[in-house]
Amino acid sequence: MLEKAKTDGFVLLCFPFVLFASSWMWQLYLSGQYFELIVSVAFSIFLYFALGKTKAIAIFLYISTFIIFFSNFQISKSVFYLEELDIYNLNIRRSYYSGDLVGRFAENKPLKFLTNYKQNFFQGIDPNFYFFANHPRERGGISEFEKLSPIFIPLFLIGVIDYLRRRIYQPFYYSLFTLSLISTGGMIDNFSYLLFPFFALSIYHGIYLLCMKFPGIR
Amino acid sequence: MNMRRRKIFLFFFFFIAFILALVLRFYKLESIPLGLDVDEAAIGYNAYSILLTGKDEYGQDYPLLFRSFGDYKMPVYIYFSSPFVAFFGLNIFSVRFLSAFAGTAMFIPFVLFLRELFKERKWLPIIGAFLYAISPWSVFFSRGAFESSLAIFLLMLGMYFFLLGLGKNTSALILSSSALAISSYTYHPQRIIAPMLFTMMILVYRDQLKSKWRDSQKLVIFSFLLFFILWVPQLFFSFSDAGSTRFQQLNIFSRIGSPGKIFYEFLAQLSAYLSPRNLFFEGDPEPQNSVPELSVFFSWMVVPYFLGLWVLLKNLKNKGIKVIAFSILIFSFPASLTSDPFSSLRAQSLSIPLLIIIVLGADQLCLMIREKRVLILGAIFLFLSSLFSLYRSYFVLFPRERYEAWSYGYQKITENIREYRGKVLVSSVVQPSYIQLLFFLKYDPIQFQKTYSGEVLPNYYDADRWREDFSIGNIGIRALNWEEDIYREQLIIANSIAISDGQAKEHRFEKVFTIYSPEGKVLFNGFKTNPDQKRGVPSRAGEL
Repeated sequence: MLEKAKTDGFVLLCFPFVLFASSWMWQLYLSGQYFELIVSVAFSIFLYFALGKTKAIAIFLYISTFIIFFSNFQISKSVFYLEELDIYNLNIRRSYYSGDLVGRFAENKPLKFLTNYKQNFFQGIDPNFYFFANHPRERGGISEFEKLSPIFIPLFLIGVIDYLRRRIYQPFYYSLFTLSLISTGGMIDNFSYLLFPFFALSIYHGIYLLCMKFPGIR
Repeated sequence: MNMRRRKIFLFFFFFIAFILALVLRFYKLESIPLGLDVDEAAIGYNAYSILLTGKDEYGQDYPLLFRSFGDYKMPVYIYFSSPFVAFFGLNIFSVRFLSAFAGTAMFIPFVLFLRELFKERKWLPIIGAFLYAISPWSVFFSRGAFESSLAIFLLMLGMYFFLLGLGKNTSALILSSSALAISSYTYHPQRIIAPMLFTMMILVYRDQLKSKWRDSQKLVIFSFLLFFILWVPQLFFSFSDAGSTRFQQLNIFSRIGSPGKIFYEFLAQLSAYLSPRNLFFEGDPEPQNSVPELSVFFSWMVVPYFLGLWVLLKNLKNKGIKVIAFSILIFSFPASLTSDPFSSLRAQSLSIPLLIIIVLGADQLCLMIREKRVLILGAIFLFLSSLFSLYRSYFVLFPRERYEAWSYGYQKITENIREYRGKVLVSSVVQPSYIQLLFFLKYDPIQFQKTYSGEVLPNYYDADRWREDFSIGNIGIRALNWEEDIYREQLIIANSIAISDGQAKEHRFEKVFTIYSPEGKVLFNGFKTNPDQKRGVPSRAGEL
C-alpha cells in the first residue's frame, strides 16, 4: 500500500498538506528559524524515502542529524554542565545520609547528569509537549506552543500503529536515535525540530490509510 | 523441574514479594511521611469522635458524608479506622494503618487477578507480585491516610471476585458487587468509577454470564441487584450540595466556557495521565503527593510500558486485555474531568491497569531475551536499583524536603502548649490547623461538639462557607490581628513569616520556644506578649 502511494502521486498532495497544517513549521518560519525549517522539511522527505530499501538515504539522514546536532552543541548548555546551585544542592543532599561514603554514592554528578538527561528525554516523549503546548503542565519561563493540532492525534496513532503492525521500524529507529542524541543538549526545545520528520511521516501515513478507506475522496 | 518443586519455588517468590510489600508499607509508618496532613488529622479525629460519641467533630450522628473542612469526606475510611484508633490509640500510626493494610493486602487480589487473566503465562504473576511490591505509586499512597488506597483495594477485590464468579464460584459475584459498591463510598472518584467498571465487566464477559444465567440465574440477578441497592443511595447525596461540593471545586466545566475548550482540556488531561513524562519522570506536581526525584513508576519501566501497550494493541480481542484497556479509560475519566495537572491521588486507581501493562511488557521482554543469564542479571540489577531509588527518594529525601507539605511541627506545638493554662493563639492563615491540634491534644470530642454543633448542625449538608477561626478551650486558631493581639496577655505561636524577629522585638514579644525542621530551619516560634511593656508600663513578672 505504501509503495503504491509513492507511485500514484497521493504523497505529492498529502505531504505538503501535513507540513503546511503544522503550526510547528509556521512557528519556525515566523521566528526566523529558516535553517531549522528547511532541515525539518528536507529530513521529513528523506525519512519518507528511507522507508524503502534505500539504505544510503537512511545513513545520510543519521549522519546529517548527528552533524547538525553537534555543530550546535555547547557543553555549557548541555546536561553535563552543572550550575553552582546544583553543586550546592548536591552537597546539601549528601549531608542527609548517615555516612559520607553513602552520601557520595547516592548523590553524585553522574546521577545529576542522568536526571538532566531524563528530563529532556521524557519531555521528548510527552504527547502533551507536541499536541497541547505542554498543557496542563506548562513550564515556567518558557513560551510553550502547540506544535501539532490535537486533530492530528488519531491520524498520528493510526500511522504509528500501522507502521508497527507492518514492522516498518525505520521511523522509530530514527526518532529514538534523534531523541537520545538531542536529550544530551540543553533544552530539548532547541533541537526538537529534528523530531518533526517522525511526526510528519506518521501523520501522513495515518491520513493515507484513512483516505484508502474512502476511495471517493482520493 | 517437577510440579511440586516448581510450586514451592513459586510460593517462595510470592512470599518474598509479599514480605517486601509489607515492609515497604509499614516500615517507619509513624514517622515517614514526616508530619501529619490536615486530611489525615481530620480522618483520625473524626474516627476518634465516632468511636467515643457516635458523632463527628461537629456532633452529627453517624454522618453519610463527613463535613470536615467543607470538603465532605467519604465515610468508609473514617468508620473503618475507628477500630484501629480504639486499638492503637489516637496517633499517626493508627490513622495510617488502614491505608497501609489495604496497600499490603491488595498484593493478594492483584496477583490472583493476574493469574486469572493470563493463565497461560506462569511467570507473569510473579513479575506482577514484585513490581506491585515496589511500585512507588502504591507505596506512597499506602503510607498516608489516603481514602484512595482503601478504595482501590476494594476495586481490585471487586475485579478479582468478578473473574472468580465467572468460573465455578458463582457466589463470588456477590462479593464482587459488594466490594465495588462499597468502594463508591470510600473515595469521591469511585462514585463514577465503580458503576462504570461493573457495567464494563458485565458487557465484556456477557457470554460467560449468559451461560451462568442458565445454571445460577438467581445468584447472578441477586449480585446485580445487590450492587444496585448498595450503590444507589449515594446517588441521592451526589446531587446535594454536600455530595457535589468536591466536584464543584475541581471540575473543568465551571472554569472553562465553550464545549470545544472543555473537550480540549479533557483530552489534554487524559493525555497527561498516560504521558510517560508524568508516569516515569516528573510525577505529581503537588509536593504533598509526590516524593523528590521519583515519579509514580520507576523510569526504566517506560520500556515495558511501551512494550505492554504494544501487547495490548495486538491482543485487543482477548477479554482480559479488553478489561485492562477499558479500565484505563474508565479510571482516568474522573481525574481528567478535574483541572489539576496529573493528580496521582485522584487517578490512583489508574495504577492498576498501568501496572498490568508494565507487567505485560516486562513479561514480553523476558520472552524476547533468550539468554537466561542476561535476563536474571538484568532483573536483579533493575530490582536492586529500584529499591535503592525508593530508599533514596522516599526514606531519605522525602522527610527532609517535603515536611512542610505534610504540616510538620503541630505535634511539637501541642507538646509545648499542653500544660499551658493561659490564653494561646495559633496564627493560622492558610491551613485548617485546628484539626491537627485537636488530634494531637486528643481533645475531648464532646467539648468541641458543644462549641460548634449549634452553628453547624442545622445546615450540616448545605456546604455553606467554612469558618476560618476556631477555639479549642484556651487555644484560639485564627489569623493574627496586629491591632489587638499585641495588647492581650497571651502566648502567640506563629511561623517566621507571620511574625518576623524584627516584629517580635518591636512589639516586646518574649520568645518562649522554637520548633525546628529536621534540617534546622525555624518552623514556628512561641512568643509571649508583653502588653504592659508595649503600652510603656513597667513589666510585671510573668513566667510561662
